[in-house]
Amino acid sequence: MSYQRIDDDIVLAYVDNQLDAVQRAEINAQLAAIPELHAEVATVQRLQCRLRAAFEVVDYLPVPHRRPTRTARRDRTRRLWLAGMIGVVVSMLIVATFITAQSITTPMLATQSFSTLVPLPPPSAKQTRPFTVTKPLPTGQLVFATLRDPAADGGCGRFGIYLLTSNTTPTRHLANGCNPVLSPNNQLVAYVRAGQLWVVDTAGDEERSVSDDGIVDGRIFPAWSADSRWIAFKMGRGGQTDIYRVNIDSGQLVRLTNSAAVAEDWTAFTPVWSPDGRQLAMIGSTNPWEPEENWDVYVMQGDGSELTRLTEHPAREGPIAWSPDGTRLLFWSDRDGESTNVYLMQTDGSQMMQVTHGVYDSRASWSPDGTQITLASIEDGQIYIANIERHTIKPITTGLPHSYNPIWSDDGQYIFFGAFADNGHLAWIYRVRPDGQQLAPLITTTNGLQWTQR
Amino acid sequence: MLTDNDSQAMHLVQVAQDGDYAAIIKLYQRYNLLVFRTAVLLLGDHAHAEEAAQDVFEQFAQRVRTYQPARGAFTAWLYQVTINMCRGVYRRTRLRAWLSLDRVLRSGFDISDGAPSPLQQLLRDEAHRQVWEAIQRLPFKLRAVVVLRYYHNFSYAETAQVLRCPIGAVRSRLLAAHDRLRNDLDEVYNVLPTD
Repeated sequence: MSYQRIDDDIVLAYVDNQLDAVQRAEINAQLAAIPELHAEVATVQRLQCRLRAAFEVVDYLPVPHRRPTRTARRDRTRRLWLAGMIGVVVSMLIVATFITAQSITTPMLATQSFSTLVPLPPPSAKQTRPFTVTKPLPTGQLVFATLRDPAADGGCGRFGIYLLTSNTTPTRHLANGCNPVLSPNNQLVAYVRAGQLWVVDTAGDEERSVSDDGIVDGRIFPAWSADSRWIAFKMGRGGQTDIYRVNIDSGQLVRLTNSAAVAEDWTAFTPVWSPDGRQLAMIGSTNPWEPEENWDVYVMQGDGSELTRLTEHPAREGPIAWSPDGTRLLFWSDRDGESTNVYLMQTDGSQMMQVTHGVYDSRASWSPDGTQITLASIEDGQIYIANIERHTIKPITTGLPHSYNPIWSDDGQYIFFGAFADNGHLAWIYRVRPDGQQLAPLITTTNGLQWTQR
Repeated sequence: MLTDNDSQAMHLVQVAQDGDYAAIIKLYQRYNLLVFRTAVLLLGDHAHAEEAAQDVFEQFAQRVRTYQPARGAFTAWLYQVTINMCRGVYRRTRLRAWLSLDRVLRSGFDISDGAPSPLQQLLRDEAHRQVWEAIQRLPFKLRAVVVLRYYHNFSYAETAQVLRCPIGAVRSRLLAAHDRLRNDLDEVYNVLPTD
């Protein structure tokens, strides 16, 4: 029998068990007859065995739970600085060459300031809405973000922020960005784009940056005060990251925390205003991205004074919402281990009470009368209502795939929540009556949904 | 193909995309091991792998929003992010070597000074050490294919899904990696008998 040359990649695929049955049968037939082929297969197998055996070593490595050392970070910073300097020099040379060649003067780009009003471009006629409005909103307004251009890569700029209303124009494109939060007076939406905090009016006419020269953490939602005059948010400025607040009318920017004074690498995030606007609750942690690092609930006065730690547990926990009367604070905690549950305490940290026993979303919403909360179970994907006074909890939905982030409407008549299909390809905003009646989707999208609340 | 069968993980992904910090941390804890081990294999250096894993998770909360279920499994997306971050660290370390005029062809294999890293301590077996050094001499593109195929046991189709390339490209890269490894580890294979 003559030796018919078989391509090397076919031999490799044979050893890798990546050929179909017919192809494998052909190779098997030739293996018995052709010693050279047999030797080639054996060599590939040996190499692969050695690779796999050598790779197994990694299974015995301890997983690091520490950040890179400060020395390493300093070293990296030095490298980035050097690369940056080279970049600046090269850029200056290019710009100088360009100006000389073109004999024109490049206008200086104006720095965005609080008072800068940026008219939004008119909506493109070609732009289609990346979602379908299934039902009009019963009352009021909701804001959400969804991907405008799923094919493009990038950060918050890919998301469009939309307002869902109950009037004849059911949705409106307000701006591009993420983490949108509607002000309590329903007139403004705060959101993050390109490391800046922005505000746009609900008519979608004007947007403006309100974060001055800092870098706003795009992972954190801004928080409106109850009177819609202040926004609290996390921002890096002058080499330090802190919670700031900005006055929407005057543009006055106030730093509320001084992280460096609390502890090395300490940081605060997810601020939540008290209903009277006098206090803020938030998460405080040293190295919050360490897997084993604990997070605790802190409160401070609205001017940043009297920073007080309310929880001292080695678990992760964070504030969810103040009760409508401002006397109690709802918070989530992992103190049960892997599961997240919702707890309640007085605003001085006393009288702690566990509200749920299971695995729940770390968001929840108070009923306007402060007697109940609504929250979502990660275990069965349904929306629940917990009665705080009676210590009861019951589902109000059934059969939904995955529900999350329920929010009680201001008038207490509806609960709005997000949901998505098992495969994640389809997402909805639903509304339901607190008694479980009138369940209906308001928005349907295949483009990813960021559904938020104030 | 890679699929997301873990319903709870899918839920965490969705609420993490919605900005839920607790969910982000839970995903972080769930996939920390996967990211770190992949980084060690791709970079061959404990400290560099720590740096890459740190990069992945520092940007995780922001980047998780760019994941779209319709375009593939979450784990495939996370592998993509990890490989991209490792590529960035790989380039930075090469740039650093170049800037410091350290042009001696170093394998990138645990070049740190001082006490042996945990990886070095584990690689006392000379045969394993040779393989790791040979892997680190592969171009990054070939290294990624080898790690996905022979550590994570991904099929060609799954590897192509993670690397976003045609299956044919996976086959050709694997073949090129095999050729280089066999040449690099020549002394090992020359002394082995052919059956």
